[in-house]
Amino acid sequence: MSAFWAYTVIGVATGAIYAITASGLVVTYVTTGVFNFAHGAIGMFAAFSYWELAENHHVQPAIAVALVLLVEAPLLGAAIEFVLMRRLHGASTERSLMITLGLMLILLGVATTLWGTTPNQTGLPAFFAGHNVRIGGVNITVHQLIVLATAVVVAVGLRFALRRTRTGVAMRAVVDDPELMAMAGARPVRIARAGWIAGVMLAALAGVLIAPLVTLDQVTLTLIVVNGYAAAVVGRLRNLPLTFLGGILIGLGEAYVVGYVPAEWQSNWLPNPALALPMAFLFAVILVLPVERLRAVGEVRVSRVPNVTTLRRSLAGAGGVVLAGVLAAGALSLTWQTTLSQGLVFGVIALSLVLLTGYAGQVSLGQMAFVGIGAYTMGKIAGGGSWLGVLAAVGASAAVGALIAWPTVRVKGLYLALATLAFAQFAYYVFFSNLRLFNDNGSIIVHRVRLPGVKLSGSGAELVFLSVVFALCAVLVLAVRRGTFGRRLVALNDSPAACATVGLNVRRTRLAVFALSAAMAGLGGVLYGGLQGPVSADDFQVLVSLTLLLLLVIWGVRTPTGALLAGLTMATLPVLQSHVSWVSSLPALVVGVGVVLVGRLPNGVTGAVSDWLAGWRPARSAPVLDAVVPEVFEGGANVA
Amino acid sequence: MSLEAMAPDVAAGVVGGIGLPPPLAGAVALRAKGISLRFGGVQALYEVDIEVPSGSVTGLIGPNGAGKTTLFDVLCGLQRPDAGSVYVAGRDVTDFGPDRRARLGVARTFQRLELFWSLSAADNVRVGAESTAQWWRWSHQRRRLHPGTEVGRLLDQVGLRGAGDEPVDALTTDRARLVELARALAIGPRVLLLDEPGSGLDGPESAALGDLLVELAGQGMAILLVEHDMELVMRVCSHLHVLDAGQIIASGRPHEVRGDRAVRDAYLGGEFPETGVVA
Repeated sequence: MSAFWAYTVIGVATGAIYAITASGLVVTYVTTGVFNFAHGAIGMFAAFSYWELAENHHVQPAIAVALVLLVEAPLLGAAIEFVLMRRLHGASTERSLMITLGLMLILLGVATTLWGTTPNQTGLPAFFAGHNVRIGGVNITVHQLIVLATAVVVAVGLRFALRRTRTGVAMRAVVDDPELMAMAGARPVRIARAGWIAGVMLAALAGVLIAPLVTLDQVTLTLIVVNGYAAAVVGRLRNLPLTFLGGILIGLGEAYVVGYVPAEWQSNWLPNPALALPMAFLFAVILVLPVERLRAVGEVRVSRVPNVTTLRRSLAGAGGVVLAGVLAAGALSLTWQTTLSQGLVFGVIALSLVLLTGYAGQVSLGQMAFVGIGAYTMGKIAGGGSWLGVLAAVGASAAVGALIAWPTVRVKGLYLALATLAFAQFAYYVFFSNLRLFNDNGSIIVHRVRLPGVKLSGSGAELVFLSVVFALCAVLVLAVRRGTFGRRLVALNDSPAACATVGLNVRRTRLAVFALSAAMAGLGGVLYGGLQGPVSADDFQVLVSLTLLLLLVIWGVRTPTGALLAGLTMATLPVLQSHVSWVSSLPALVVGVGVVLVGRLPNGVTGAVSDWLAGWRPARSAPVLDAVVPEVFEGGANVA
Repeated sequence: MSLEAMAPDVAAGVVGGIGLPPPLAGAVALRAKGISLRFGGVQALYEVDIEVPSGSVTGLIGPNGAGKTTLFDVLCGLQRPDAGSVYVAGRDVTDFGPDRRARLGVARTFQRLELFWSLSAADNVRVGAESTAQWWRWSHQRRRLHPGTEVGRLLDQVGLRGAGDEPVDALTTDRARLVELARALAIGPRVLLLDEPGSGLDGPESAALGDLLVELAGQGMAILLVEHDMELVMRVCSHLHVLDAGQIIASGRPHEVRGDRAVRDAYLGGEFPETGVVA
């Protein structure tokens, strides 16, 4: 029985930290409408700052905590609002989501550069480490007591601040009707700033409290906050008491799983149950959310040009890619051929995101999970290199994609993004890390596709093959865009309400595009596996998915050209890193900074370039039509 | 005589779309009974009864904030009422979502435009025309679509000849409204809900719109028109409902409604506008 109480205490303490971080997320979300995906990275950064002060500079812990929470965090919050968010005013949900993801990568990159990549083994000491209190026969550490007390103070403090202070009342009112609040003389900027500062302070607080309980490692600390997301979703991103309840429930669940799931299970078929549980919980909570009402929002004009590429142009672009592939196979060194091949494979995966995010406006944060499913299926079926394997891989990814999307397409886009994140993390912990399914070293061998009658050997042939596959996929994606289905996707992104009133089944269409996108990602998995040979869990991490998604946003999320450039950049950044020693985590930094810089451009860099080129082109008889085709798909050939 | 008795296939709601035999004029195509809806402390609609017969234009007028657009949302299925039922051709569709109602032939436009801003005008209409097409039914698709001709004809019909290739965000608001009208017509509606289609139109354009509405009604469509342009309303409507603070305060023929005392009071106690636009 005392073991039970010990687990309960651990669970409540962990849960309290989730509750604190989730409440910060909620405060920022309700005041600014932005779901801050950098929340975990902020907590991580705060924890490392505290460690730096306390351990390296021997600052008194209390003073170090005060410096981090009362100086660094508010400054960071105000800076985020001023530098990143203010200019995003009126941008779509997806845009602000991408910017916070970029911020997350920047913080990760900076922290890795400052504090190294290897997990710090000494870790962060708990507050008053070694001091315990005995209550009712259960040992409770002083750290746990501090956590509990802090959670209570945060809960009471937030309630007081939101109900009794001027800014707090305005913050709550702004949720109900921002336009009305602005008319009533409230200053939206001040409220947004308060929302960001409060959110960042709570993220930092949670980071400092949780760091001693886990490894002091950038990625671990950043991603552990995803557990807090589940708590925030319990409160539907609005309700603070429910958010606290959710946090405690997740903490308890985790502790009991650690305590009571037999070790034999864990080593056999259920690895990492404690890590997987919050993800399953997050997914389950999204399942029971009420159906989103399709709302007519009215005149949200986004300055985009209709972007339809004719068959002739897309074939010309495809030919250009293949030609470039052939030339590169003949001219470049082996290393560069492999890099380009990787780029093309990432390009195919990015194409799956063009369909989903570029056309349909749905965000998947875990696309690499579908890549992983494709690679795994390919490796398992018929010796790992057959056409049957390709079909099975594509089918399996599509089926799993449909299964994930089916319950989530009825709620708003943000929840779909969260569901994909939860699914990807869950798959990583339970499926890809499962040594029963993968070989003992955690990998699985995937062979290249054996083409009938064609002998593909060497990296040059592989490069040509992959450029053909990419070109075909690009032509397919553009054909989809020209057809009925593609028009529907774009229409659905612009106005779901109008789509429904002309008779479109919104859920079914979203489900279809998600499955199609997953299928293409599965094909990407087949190619990825064939290129890598052995693949393992780390290939399919969420951070890989996020990096590729943000690269696509940078280059242009609506065009195959953007996908090609995103893929090539994805493959080239690690090569670049190997030449640069003064900064670690260069890919994360480049991508993070890039998305922050060009995040406002609706069609990314390629869109801006083609707009600029269109300005230089001699005007023809129909200037409007001229602007209709800014596709620079042929441009891809020059880059490859 | 009920609609079911007169035209069973129409009443059963299994057909919809272009090429139907026109529903019998005068039959009630859309009926709402006892619609009530609260938003928090605001009673947006209270026991609203409304009938929209085929073959004529029915007007829905009332001051700003009376609940006209909310009623439209309830009728087309975007908003569930707290109480009351909606019938399309005699069939209870209260539990149907907007897409199912659209497939039964309920189309609408929006006061605050809901266009597909990334698409051209023609593609906006095409999405409507293709909405019931299933990709695996080629014959069905071919019969219904004829992309060039059908979409072009609809754009011509609403007065947007030659504007098909223009991106809709390059159109002026009043012309963008006409794209919405063409898109609504593209599903081949039996019931057409129009939320201020004439706002922003000048005199001749407004007259042309009136002619179009009369023509569509003549083909058997049931049209419910929300409009502030009283000249247009008085000209085309054969029946009027007046909504004020969520309640129907008067119904009847236009000239009867014009004389109604409650209606005059609802319009800020002032004169019921003889002509011109009510602000």
